[in-house]
Order: sequence, then structure tokens, then C-alpha cells
Amino acid sequence: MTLRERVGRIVVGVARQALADSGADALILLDDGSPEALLARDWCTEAAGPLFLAVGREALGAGEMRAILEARPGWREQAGGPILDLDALAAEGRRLDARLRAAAMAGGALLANPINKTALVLSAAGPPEPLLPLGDLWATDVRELAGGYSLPTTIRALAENVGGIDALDGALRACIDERRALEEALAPLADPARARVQGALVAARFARRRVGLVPKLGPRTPGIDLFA
Amino acid sequence: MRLAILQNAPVLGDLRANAARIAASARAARADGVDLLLTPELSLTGYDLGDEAALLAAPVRPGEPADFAPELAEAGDVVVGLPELGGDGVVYNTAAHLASGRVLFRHRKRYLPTYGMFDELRWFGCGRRIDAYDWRGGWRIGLLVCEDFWHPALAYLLAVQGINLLLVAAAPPGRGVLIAPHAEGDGLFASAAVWERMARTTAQLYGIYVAMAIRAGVEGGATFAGGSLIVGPGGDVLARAPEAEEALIAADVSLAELARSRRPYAHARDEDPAWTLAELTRALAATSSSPSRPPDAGIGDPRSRPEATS
Repeated sequence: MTLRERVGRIVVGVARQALADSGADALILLDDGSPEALLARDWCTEAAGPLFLAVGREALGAGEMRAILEARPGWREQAGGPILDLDALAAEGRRLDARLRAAAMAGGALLANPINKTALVLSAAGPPEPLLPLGDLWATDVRELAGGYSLPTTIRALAENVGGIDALDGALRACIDERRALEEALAPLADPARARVQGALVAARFARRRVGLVPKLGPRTPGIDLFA
Repeated sequence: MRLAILQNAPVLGDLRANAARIAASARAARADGVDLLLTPELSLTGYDLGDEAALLAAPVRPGEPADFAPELAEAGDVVVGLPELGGDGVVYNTAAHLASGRVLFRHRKRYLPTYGMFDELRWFGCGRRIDAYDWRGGWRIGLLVCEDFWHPALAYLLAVQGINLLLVAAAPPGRGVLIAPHAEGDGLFASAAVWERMARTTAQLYGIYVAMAIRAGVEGGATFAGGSLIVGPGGDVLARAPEAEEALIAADVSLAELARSRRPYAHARDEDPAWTLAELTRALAATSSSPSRPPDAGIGDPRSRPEATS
């Protein structure tokens, strides 16, 4: 069994159970085209089958909207009443996207955000989505599984300043997965970026206390055995 | 004797549904010649109950009908797990051997993991006794629940009481998915190798059968490992369930085979529990009275040392 197969089996199982437990009628992945989203798309599709939809984070195109509204006629009304042509639908993209999110949060669908663990533990404003299928995979794990990774601009800059993503993930693994003291774990990082990583970890504590559901893969998983 | 393990994935909090499913499996197993069916920890309720454990808890009284699961009245001999409401009002994490709908024996989990992802001491009280019990056909059985098995003194206490079969009802989440390649095997979880080592070592050291039921399924972000085992008294694996999915496995076990496996060795014969007790008493007294030894230097919680409890 390959690493990707092993990880996929766990993520699919957790996503499938989350869909059942939530009573949702769909699993929506916020698909930004990142390597994380490509991985998550495969696994969410396997977990949810015809109940899976991928939705762009920024806005919906006409084709996406057509697909969604044809698959879920009942959502047309929630999304703004009867709309007769797709060009108009495309123009309503952002508002419809927001309404879809609102409808999902109200119980109609389960939203999944493909954020990786590196971004999750360093983000002071964590993602509000209730399912984070890749939340226990470091960016370097995603790189091994998908050939690349993505990070928010600020965290990518942080990684570059400390010597690259391998150095940053190495320090975070030492601190979080191996439970080493923060100073010891961050010691290999270059100054002054080391202090910024430490600051980001501290600033993200509040967000880490209320993360969505993360399939447990590593020794210390946000929301399961990493609480602060 | 034919021994089976049902590796189930309980529906969290739905005792009725889980009891019905176990009863159906037990009926099928009996039709297949199975004499005793072991199920995992908290198999009637699921694991991550939180404070719902107190709402689901039911009395489990040896010798009395198993009113908490009437579905199992015709299920023959089956070991199930559930939150028990003790006569003292405390809720215990209990495994119970039911025989034709009556409670033959119960074991209250002694060691409740409360670290990392585990929170059991918030919801359960600790059992205080480790007893063996007799079953038909000359079988003498010990029953442990999950974390109990990580404390070798408990298996030892049961071995001293003459067990020839150790039943372990467990619900460990799978760990080590990202460790690749695994040190042992190509399975889903690196942690499965640890459980297998414990089961095989315990069986061989004491010359007993070990049956270890590990639940499957998912609760929240945790995936339960599966990989249940029936191990012979020579440490050989007689039956193995797949990882992380529901399964029913079985193996034939016999006292004659057990006696044969002990014959070349004298470990069980030579064990000297009275000497062990005397040495343990001496070691604990020496540890607690040593001025140079910090209170947390030995094995065990300092609060449980003799001077703290006397």
C-alpha cells in the first residue's frame, strides 16, 4: 500500500463518516486549484460519490453554476429565486457563492477546506469550514503526495525567510509532532525569521482551539490532540 | 472450543442498534459452530461518548439478566462492552461476558487513558479488581479492556490466577499512517505492530491463548485500527482481521494444545508470585523511604505509593 493510498483511505473514511454524522446532503470542497485541492478532490469524490461538489473559493463560473443548479434544483430558490439565463447566473457568482456557503453552514451541505497543516497551525484566522481533510498533512507531506503545495502569501514568505519549506516544516514537526520545547524546535531556523515563526505560532493559538474536523494521520492532530 | 471475534464499528450512542447487530452476528457465528464471541471495547455504544456515557450507563450485575441488551438473550456466550452504572453511582468502562442473556462476569477497566487524545477519567471511574473466572469445559478466562493491556502487571495478575485464555476488548485509534515504510509490514497503521507484539508476547510468556478484539470504524477524526487477533499459546497468530473495517474471525482453541505448548518450557510452572509480592513490597517501601529519590522517579503515580494512601 502506498503512502497516498494509506492517507487516502483514512481521509475518505473520516469524510464519509462526517457526511453521515452531519446529515448533510452534499460535501462541498472549496477548490482553489491548489495541489491540496487536487488531492482532496479525489478523496472527497470517493467519500461522497454523487454528493460531492467542488466549488471555487473566489467565485463560480457559469458552467459550475449550471452543474450545481442542475444537480440541486432546490438550491435555485435559496440562491436567489428563479434565474432564467446562465449569463445572469455568472454575474451573480459571488453572491451565489456566499449564499451557497450560508446554506451549507445552515445544514444543507458539509463544507471542506483543503488547507494543509503548515498553514493551519500558523494562521491566526483559521478556516471556518467544518471539515479539513488535509489538516494533518504538512506542506512537505502534500509535496510528496501531489508534487507541490500551496501556502498563504505571508506563510510562504515566512518559509522563504527561514531557509525554505523543509526548514520550516522541520521545525514545526519538532515542535508539534515530537513535542520538543519551542525554543529547541525553532533553534535551527535563521534569525530574525525564527522570532516571526514563534510569533505566528503563538498568535494562531486562538484559532487552533476551534478548528474543524481533521482526519488523524500524525502523532499530534489539530483539534484531536493538539489544542493550543 | 471455537472462539470468534466480531470486529464491529458501532453506531455512536445507539445501544439498541449496536446490540441488534451484535446479536445478528452472534447468531451467524453460532450457526458456524462458534462457542464464544468477543467484541471490542464499548461495542454496544461506541467510544467517544463524552458525558453521554452517564446517560447510557446501565447496571451490570453478575448472575442477573442482562437487561441492558435483551437483544442478546438468545446470542449464546458473547463478551460486550458498555458504560456500566455501578451500585456506587460511578460509571465504569466495562466488558461483560453474557451467557444466554445473563451476566456471567464483568471487568471494569482499571487503567483509563487520560492523555493526548484520550479523556476517559472525565467520564469513567477506575475498576479496582482483577479477577479470573471459570467457564465451561475447563476454560479459565481473564478479561481486560484496551489500556489495561499496556500494563503488564494486569496480565500477570490474571496468569497467577490460572487463566488459559485472555480476552482483550480494545478500541485503539490507528496511529502512524505517515510512517513509511512501516518498520513491520505494509499495513495501514504502524501501531498495529505494537498491539500484535503485545498479544504474541503475552501469549508466549504465560502459555495462554490471547484474543484481542479491536474495533473498526470512524468517530470524529479518529479511525479505529481493527486488525483483531487470536493468538495461540506459542505466540502464533491463529486468526487475523483486516485493518479498519468490520470483520468476523474465528479459530479453534483447545486445552490439549495449550498443555502441549507449555510442555517444553517451565515458565508458567516456575512462576513464584509469593516471592514477587515480597519483592514488590520491599521495593515500594525502599522507593518511598529513600531520601535521595525524587517522588516521581519510579514507576507509578506517587499518590498511589504506600505512604500516600496509608
